This record gives sequence, C-alpha cells and structure tokens, in this order.
Amino acid sequence: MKRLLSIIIISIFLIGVCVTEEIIVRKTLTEINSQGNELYSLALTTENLNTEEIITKTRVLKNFWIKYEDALCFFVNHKDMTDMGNEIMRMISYAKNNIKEEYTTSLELVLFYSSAYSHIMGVSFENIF
Amino acid sequence: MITIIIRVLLIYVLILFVFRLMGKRQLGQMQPFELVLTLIIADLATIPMAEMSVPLLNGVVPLLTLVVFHFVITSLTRASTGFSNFISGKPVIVIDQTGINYESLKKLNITIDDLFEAIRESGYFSFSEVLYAIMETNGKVSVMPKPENSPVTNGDMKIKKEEDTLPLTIISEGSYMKENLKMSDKSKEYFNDILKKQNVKSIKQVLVLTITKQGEIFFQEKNKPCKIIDAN
Repeated sequence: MKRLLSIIIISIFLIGVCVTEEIIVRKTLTEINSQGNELYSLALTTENLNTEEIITKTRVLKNFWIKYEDALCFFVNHKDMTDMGNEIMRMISYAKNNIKEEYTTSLELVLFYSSAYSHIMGVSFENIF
Repeated sequence: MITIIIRVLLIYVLILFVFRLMGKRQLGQMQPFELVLTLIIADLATIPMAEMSVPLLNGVVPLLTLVVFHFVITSLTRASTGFSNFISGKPVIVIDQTGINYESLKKLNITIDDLFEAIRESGYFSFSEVLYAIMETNGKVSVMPKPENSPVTNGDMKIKKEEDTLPLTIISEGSYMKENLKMSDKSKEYFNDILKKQNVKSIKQVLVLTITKQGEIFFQEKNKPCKIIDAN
C-alpha cells in the first residue's frame, strides 16, 4: 500500500514536471521568439539602430529574459541558457553603438535558440527516435 | 562546489529511495531485467552529478520514470504467469533422471563446464550424484541429489528435536532494542540485573546480548571475550 502510494505520488510529480515544462519553457521561448521577430523586422527596416524604440524594445527583451532565466534553469541545459543570455546582453551594446551586422547576427542566434528548443526537446516523432 | 555537494546529496537520497522502493534483492537474486535496471540507474545518476550544466531534473525524471515503469512491470508479472514467463523466463530442467538435457543447455546457452561449476557450487562433484538440476530464472542452479547422496536429516534418523527459535538481540552496541525486548517478555531490569551480576558497569560497554526461547543468553562486552549464561 505504501509502495503504491509512493508510485502514485511519483507519477503525479512526473506529470507535474512535464506540464510545468511545457507551460514555462514553451511560453517563455515563444515570447522571446515573438519579441525577437519584432526587433528583427524593425532592425531590417531602419538604418540607425541607436533609436529609443529599438533600445527600449531590446531592454524589454533583456528584462524578460532575466525574469524567466531562473525558471528555465530547472528544465534547459545551462550551457544553452548561457549562450542565449550572452547574445541578448550583446544586443544592447550593439544597438547603442549602431553595429547593425552584429546586432542582427545576435538576434538571429536568439531566434534560432528560442525555436531550436522545441525541435530538440518538444514531443515529436523525430525526437522520440 | 557547494552546489555539487548538494546535488550529489540529493541524488544519493533519491537513489536510496529508489532502491528501497524497488525492494530488497541481492545481486544474485535479481532477474535479468532487474540487473539491467540497476545498471541504468547507476549510469543515470552520474550524469547530473558530474555535469553541472545539466538540470537536476534531467536525472531525476528518468530515474523516477524507471521506478514507476518497474512497479508496473512487477505488478504485471505478479498478476499474470504468462507475462512473468515472458519477462523472467521459466525454470529449466537441465539434469533429470535420463541425464543431462543437451537441448536445454543449448537453449540456455551454457556449456557442460558451466553446469559442472554450478553443480560443484551446490556441493556435488559428480553428475552421478544428481537426480535433478534446475536452472532458475535468476541464473542459479538448484540441485536435488539422488537419495543415496542426500544428507541425513533428523527426520530420517527419527530424532525428535525441540523446535528452535531465533535468538532475540536485546542489546546491540550499547542500546536496548525496544521491539525485541517486548518480544522477549522480559523487562529491562531483568537484563540490567544479569549485566550487574557479570560486573558490567554500563550498558554502553555491551557489544551484543541475545536471548533464546530456552533462556540461553549470549553476551559480549566490547573488546572482551563472549559469555554464554543460562538464565533459567
């Protein structure tokens, strides 16, 4: 009976972890992806990155990342998190100094990391096998 | 470094819990799938221990998933003989009255030498002494000797012997075992008196004290020879 109870508790814990991962990780990365896409289209249409709008939006992205980074650490490999965090931090500096090429490269990497997670960890036939 | 220590402690506790949940089995008593499971668990545990960049959950979730799956499998093996046979196999008779069953040996992929070794481990040094030998599902060979080679028992000799009971450990390394004390139907004072008579100043000096149903007390002080006392 005790064993059965333990197994039930473990099963509930496992389901909880899976659901939480789906909610937190997917939601956070989707939001970063959408903010990144917005910044990308802005960066492509403007010559000067050192504008109030781009710098503010990049800061919003940075703040969002800082806010959810800890929660993501529970589920995502910390190395991947560091890579993504580094690129977001660099973007602020590139925007301030108007280095468009570097800014878009970093942004592309952020977009890649945020979408790659679902390809690597998401539930799919390819990932299972 | 503190993080590593905490992670290792957490995984250690988890593994203790996992093995407790899987039940007590010695290595030799394990079914093949249980042995594989043990190896996988050992391997899984090292990943989050050694790799700081891997979230702890990446090690915990597979471990717990294995525990749940193992519970399901063992429940099914208990519920269905067919499933149990499929997972653990069936005991196979390798020696019977006609001699060694070569077909069984081939099926089990064991040689005559392996069989001979197993027979010797059971205490028999010739196939002619063995009536039946059965390869159990855990890989051990159970041997039934021929009547002329089987050991003589009290029953054979018609010797009536009083039923033996397990001796109860009353004191272990200086502490009373409360449950055993209750089972012995004797009080602490009773044992304290006995210890006093044996010039034991403190219970802390006692390494072990056991009592049988017949009232025979075995006791030994730390770093001293043992004594056997008849309490009746």
